[in-house]
Amino acid sequence: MKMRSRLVLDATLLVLFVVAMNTALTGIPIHEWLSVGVAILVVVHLLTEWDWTINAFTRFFKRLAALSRVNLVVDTALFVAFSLVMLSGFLVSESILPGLGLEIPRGPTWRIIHSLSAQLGLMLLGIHLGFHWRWFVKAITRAGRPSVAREAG
Amino acid sequence: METAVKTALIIALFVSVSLGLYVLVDSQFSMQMGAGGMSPGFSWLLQMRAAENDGQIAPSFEELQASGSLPPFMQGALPSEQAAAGARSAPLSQGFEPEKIGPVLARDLLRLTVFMLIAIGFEMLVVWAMRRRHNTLTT
Repeated sequence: MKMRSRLVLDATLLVLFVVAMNTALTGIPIHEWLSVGVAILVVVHLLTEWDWTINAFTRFFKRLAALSRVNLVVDTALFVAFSLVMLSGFLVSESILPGLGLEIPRGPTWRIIHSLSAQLGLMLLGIHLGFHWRWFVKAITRAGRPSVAREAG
Repeated sequence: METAVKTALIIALFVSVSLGLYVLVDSQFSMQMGAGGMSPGFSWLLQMRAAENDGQIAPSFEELQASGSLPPFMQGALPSEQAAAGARSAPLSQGFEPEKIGPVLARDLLRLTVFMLIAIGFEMLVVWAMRRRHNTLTT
């Protein structure tokens, strides 16, 4: 995937995540559908980072730069936090599941966990973004630069 | 084909992690009373909720209503046909609170920025230390 496409994907994912977190802005039903969209984009994001992730996991206990190791730990924690947000969101769903005619008894535990895991996910997302700031600067600089083909035209 | 296999693996990993988390939460953070009252996990969750929610622990009426576990004295508060309807999708406007949009967005963006800056600082420090060590070794 080209750097520009990845930048657009990552920026869309970030904006959607922040908007989806703000239920006061979206209301519950749109929040739930936006979260499904975020989950799909997360899968696409993971596909674009597939090679790096596999490489980092296989070299984790052998030779891997300290920063890459920390990066992988943060990414894994982010994946677990995101899984918990999606799982708890599914269990407290008020729109999608009832819309499909499914009824799950929603206890307060999952509601609290949904809120806390979303905040944890946001913090880990901040760390994840911070560790990739050089990539973002490079991608934004390249995106702003006219391409060779355009210059030739 | 390769992308389909990778996608299936990611989804399988997500499902496995979710199942593990479900078992963990259900066993450690359940509201069920233990011998000495509520489980330590659930009381920790309540403390976290209070810290997050300006000291408020009790669920709101909407939360109780959504959980389907209204205490008996509140059951009559629901309109009868709504209570009888069972599973029903939330109306589009449910949860929409215009007065909270700004504060919630500001809080989330502040948290995101603070943790991003911490990570940038940490990354720069590690890179600086590595360069310094590299320079010491080569001179």
